Amino acid sequence: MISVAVTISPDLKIVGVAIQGVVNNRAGLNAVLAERLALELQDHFRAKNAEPNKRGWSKTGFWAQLARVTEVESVTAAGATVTVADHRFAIHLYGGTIKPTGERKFLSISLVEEARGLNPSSYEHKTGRELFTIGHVKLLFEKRDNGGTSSLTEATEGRRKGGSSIPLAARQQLRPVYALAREANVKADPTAMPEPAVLEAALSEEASDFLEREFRKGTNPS
Amino acid sequence: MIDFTTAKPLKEAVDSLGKRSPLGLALSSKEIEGLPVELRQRSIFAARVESERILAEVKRRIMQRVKLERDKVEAGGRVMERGRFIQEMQGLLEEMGYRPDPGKEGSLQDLSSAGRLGLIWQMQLDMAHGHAKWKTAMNPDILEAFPAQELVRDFARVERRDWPQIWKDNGGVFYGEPGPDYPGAPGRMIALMTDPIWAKISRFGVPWPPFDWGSGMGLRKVRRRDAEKLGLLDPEDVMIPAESPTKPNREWTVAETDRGEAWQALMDKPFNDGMQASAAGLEPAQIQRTLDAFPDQVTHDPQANVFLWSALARREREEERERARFAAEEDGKEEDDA
Repeated sequence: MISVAVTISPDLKIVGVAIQGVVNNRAGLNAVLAERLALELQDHFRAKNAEPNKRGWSKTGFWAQLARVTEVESVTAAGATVTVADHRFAIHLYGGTIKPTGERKFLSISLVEEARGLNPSSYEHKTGRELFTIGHVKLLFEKRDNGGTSSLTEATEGRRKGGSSIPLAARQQLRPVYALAREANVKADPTAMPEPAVLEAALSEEASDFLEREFRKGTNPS
Repeated sequence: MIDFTTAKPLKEAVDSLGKRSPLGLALSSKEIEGLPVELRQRSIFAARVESERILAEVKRRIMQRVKLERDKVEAGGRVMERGRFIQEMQGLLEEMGYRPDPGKEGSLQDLSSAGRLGLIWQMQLDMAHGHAKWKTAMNPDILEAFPAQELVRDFARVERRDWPQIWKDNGGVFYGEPGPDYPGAPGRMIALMTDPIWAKISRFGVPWPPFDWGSGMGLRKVRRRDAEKLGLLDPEDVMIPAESPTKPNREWTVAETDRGEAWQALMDKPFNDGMQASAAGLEPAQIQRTLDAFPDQVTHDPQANVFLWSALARREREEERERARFAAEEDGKEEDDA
C-alpha cells in the first residue's frame, strides 16, 4: 500500500512530499501536486481580489493579476516549482522598504485615483495639467478651479501634516496629486498566502486522487 | 518536494513572447481579426501601428517584465512596470514626432494615450501568460488531473459582455448551478481543456485569455473528480493534449503512449519556419491584404490555398537587400575614386 504525506513549511516556501512505497510516475505526482498548489493560490488571490479597495477607489485587479501569473514553472521526478511571476508580490508577502532607484530621489505615491498606476509625467500627459511643488512641502500639486483642499492632512491621508506655509486661499485652488517620499515601508500581509492547513488538506486530497488513478490504470500496481 | 517562488518567470511565457516578431500594420483591429490566427499568434502588433521600431520597443519592455529582469545596477536596477512602460513609450513617441490624429487625442486611437498604452501592456502580458498556462495544462499528467476549466470573471468591468450568450452561440454547454459572475445564466460555463469552444469564443482564435479586447474574463481549472461529477467525462476516459492551440481534440480516448509523444511534439514544434495557415474561405482581396500586411514573411500557395510562413524567406530577403545596399555603396565608392 502506498501512502503520501504532504507537509508545508511555516514560511510556505516548501511543500514536503513523503511517500511510503514506490510511485512509478513520480514526475506525474509532482506535476499534479504543483498544479493543485497553483490552483489553490489562484483561488486565494481571486478571493482577495473580491475584497473592496482600502481607499474606496475602483479596483486595479492586482490580486487577480497575480492569479494570472501563478503557474507551475518546472517539473521533474525530483520535484516541481510553482511561481507567482510578478515582482510586486514579494513585498506583500514578506514586507520591506521601497526606495527610489536610479537617479530618482523620491517615490511618487498617488493620492488621487486618477493618478494611480501613472508616473507624474504620464499624469501630466493624460490630464494636460501641470504638476508642481511648493517650497519644501513634499507634495506634487495641480491647480484646480474647484476641488482644491483646505486640509493637506486630509487630502494626503495623514501623510503630510501642516503645510501652513501655504496660505488657505491658495490651498483651496490646489489639489495634491502625489506625495513624495524618500522611502515607503510596506508591512507583510499576513493573508497574502492561504493557511498552511488548507494547502496541506488540498494537496493530500490531490495525491490520493492521483494514486487512485494510477492504480486504476495499472501503471502503479500496489 | 514542491518549491514555491516569487522570483522565477514562466519560461513558456518568455518563449511565447520571445518568438513573436514585431510587425507594422496599417490595419485596424477589425481587419487584424480577419488575418489567420497562426499569423497573429506569431507576431507582435497593434492596430494601425506601422512602425516596427515602436513595436520592438514595446516588445523589449514587456519582455523585461515577463522575464522579471531588472535594469543593470549602474542603470538603477529598476523593474519594468505599467507606469514606467507608459512613461517611456510616451517619451519615445514624442521623440519620434508621433502626433495623434486631430480629435483623437487621449482616446484609444491615440497611441500615446495612457489608456491605449495601458491596454497594449495588459493585452501582451496576458497573451504571453495565457499561452504559457495553456502549454502547462497540456502536460499529460496535469491534463489528466485537471481535464476541464471554467470561464470566470477575473476583472470587474463597467460594461460587461454577455458571455453566457457568447458561450451558448458557440455551442457551449452549461453545467450545475450558475456561478457568482453571471447568476442569471443557465449554469456554469465549463468545458474540457481540449474542447474547441475555447478558441471559438475568443476574438483572437486562441484557447486562452484575453478572449476579447479589454476582456476581464479568465479561466479556472476544474479538478478531475469535479469534472466527472458534472458529467464532462467518465473515469475511464483518458485526456490527450491538443496538437496545437488551433487544433483542439474532439476525441480524447487514445492509447496512453501517444499522449506523451503528442505533448513532446507540441513543445518541440518550431514556431515560425514552415508554418502553414489555411486561406480557405478568404476572398482574393483578403488574401492580397494578408500578403501586403506581411510582405517579407508570408507567401500564398494558390494550389493548396494556404499561407506559408517562412522565417527563412525573410532572412533571404534581408540578406538580398543587404547585398544590394553593399553593392550600391561599393558603386558609390568607385565613382568617388574615379
